[in-house]
Amino acid sequence: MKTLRYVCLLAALPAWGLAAEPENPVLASFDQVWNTVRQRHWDKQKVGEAWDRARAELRPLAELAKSAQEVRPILQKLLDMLGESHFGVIPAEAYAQLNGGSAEEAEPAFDIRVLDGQAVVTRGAGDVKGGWILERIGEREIAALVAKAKAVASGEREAKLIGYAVIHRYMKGAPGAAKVMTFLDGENQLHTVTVPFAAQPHMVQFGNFPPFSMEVEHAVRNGIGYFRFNTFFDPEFLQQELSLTIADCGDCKGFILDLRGNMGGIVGLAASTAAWFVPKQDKLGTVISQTGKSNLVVFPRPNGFHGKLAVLVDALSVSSAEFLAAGLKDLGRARLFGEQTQGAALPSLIEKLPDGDRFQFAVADYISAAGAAVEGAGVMPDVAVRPTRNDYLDGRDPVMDAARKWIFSKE
Amino acid sequence: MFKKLTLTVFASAAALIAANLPTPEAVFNKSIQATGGRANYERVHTMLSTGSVEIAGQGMKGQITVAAAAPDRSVTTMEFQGIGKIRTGTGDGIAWQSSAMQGPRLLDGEEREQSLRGARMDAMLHWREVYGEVKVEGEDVIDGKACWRLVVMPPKSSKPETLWFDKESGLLVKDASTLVSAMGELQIESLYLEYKDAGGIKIPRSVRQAMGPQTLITTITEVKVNPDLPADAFEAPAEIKALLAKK
Repeated sequence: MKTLRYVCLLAALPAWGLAAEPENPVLASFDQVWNTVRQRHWDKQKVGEAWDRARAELRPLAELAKSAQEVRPILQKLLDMLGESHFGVIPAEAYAQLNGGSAEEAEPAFDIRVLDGQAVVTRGAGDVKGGWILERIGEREIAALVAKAKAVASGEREAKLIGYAVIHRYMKGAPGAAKVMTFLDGENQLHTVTVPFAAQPHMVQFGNFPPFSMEVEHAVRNGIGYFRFNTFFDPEFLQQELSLTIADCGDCKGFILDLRGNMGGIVGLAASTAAWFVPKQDKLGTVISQTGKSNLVVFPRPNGFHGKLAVLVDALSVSSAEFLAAGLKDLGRARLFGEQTQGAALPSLIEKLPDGDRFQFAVADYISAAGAAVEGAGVMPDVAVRPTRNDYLDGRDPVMDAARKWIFSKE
Repeated sequence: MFKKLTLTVFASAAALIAANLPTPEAVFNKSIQATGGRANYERVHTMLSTGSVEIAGQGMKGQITVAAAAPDRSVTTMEFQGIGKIRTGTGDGIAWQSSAMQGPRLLDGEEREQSLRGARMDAMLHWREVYGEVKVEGEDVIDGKACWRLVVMPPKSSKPETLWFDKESGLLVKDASTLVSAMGELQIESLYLEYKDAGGIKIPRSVRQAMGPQTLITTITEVKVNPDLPADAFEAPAEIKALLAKK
């Protein structure tokens, strides 16, 4: 009965909002966000009186908002009061491609990270070399974006994540198009490169999430299996690619699972990915929601890899990537290399708002197998390695090098 | 003196309420009759149902096919966009699941028993065997209907289940159970809606199942009764056979 009432209340929410303010979907969106958090947050103390006060303070401002764009900062201010990840509003424009609108979904082949306040190319491609600094995209100054990200972030790790996300927004382009970008090389020489955008080979769509470009890179080289993926979506594709790599890795000395830049995705996929590496049934951690506790259980695959496993992480290893890294570390199954992960690790859902935007909200807390919260804290590597710009200029990946060294060691 | 009188009044009231409750036999017999009668149930040996599934409010939709054969063989295939296929099966004392989300696994313990019990095509006819201890505990209003509330304790189960039958129509309206598995304990509440006839028995065409923070809505659009199912309809997939071989 308890659950039924809960379901009925949820079903009634949009109807209540629309009935109260039928002419104002913007205000109805504010009400839906506030109500959803009030009803579905797992920590009732957090959404008690303080949450009522937040509504009293911000709803009058939402009444003045005339569009989804105008109410977004008000909603963000409301959600920021929670001080937790996975609460945010996703603009309807992010779904333009699904609705037949224009979509700038293609990305360049190179990748970047924010290092020491600069956008450094960490994976070169075409005429763009590793270690170069991205100075401008068109006329837009990247240093200003990085500084802005630093100003709004709560710390260095979050500044890296926000900086990356903001720069990536400008790095996107229509498939087949190109953008002029300016880079600084290791000799402080400027290079202007026309960067083409190839269509993304693997776009995925999952429920109310915006479309994602999924990248998977795998290889078996010099006795080591390597698997990198940027997001935990498209389970059949991901598991098939991983199974192929492991099948080719019968004689491998070890395996490297590269979770750097992995932005997370479906929570359950963390467990099913671990299932290839864990020999007996175990749990990665526990999800604690309003309706109780649920273990994230690993059911071992019959033909998994049980040799040395290195997991590479950085500040852009987020959410499900952190569940996987923390779980494998806690189970004593993997050695982690790289940098502390983001600490944005709450299972969440996404629902549509009356004004067309989507609302992402966490519905549970996550505790690792060792009993530690990952949200806020992140996951610490066993071997801390912090790459520098010079590493990328010299074509080195010191995190990967450290993992390889360990695999071939007698440790 | 006053205390004794009060106790007597309470005891009499309890006896009166108990006297007004039907027996479990009466509730199940009415439900069997309301959904087609014993003879029609006994004529059903296989069933093939197809329809759609949706995770409410999450923009996740897909297709479902359920092949079933008496007494408890079944294979359910759900396919969601963005997740792929989720297959579950029962029969010959085993229950399994296979999906890219979780990989292949054999269910055990109470989870297996619950799956096998849920797959029983003749559960209504053999309710004592399937549900074990059964008590009619009272009345509730569910989905606007006055219902009898039955609490059952199935064999090999550590958790009771609750069933609600419409007093007037006799139809099962709702059940609530606890799924006990390696994942922990998950409360499941199912509402059964839109009963329609298929081959002489009435089957709910819409089920709203609340599981933790999510609700699965199943809509059955077609039910074939006693179809000829292919010989391999209930065969476990290769990855499940591999697990069985390891046992």
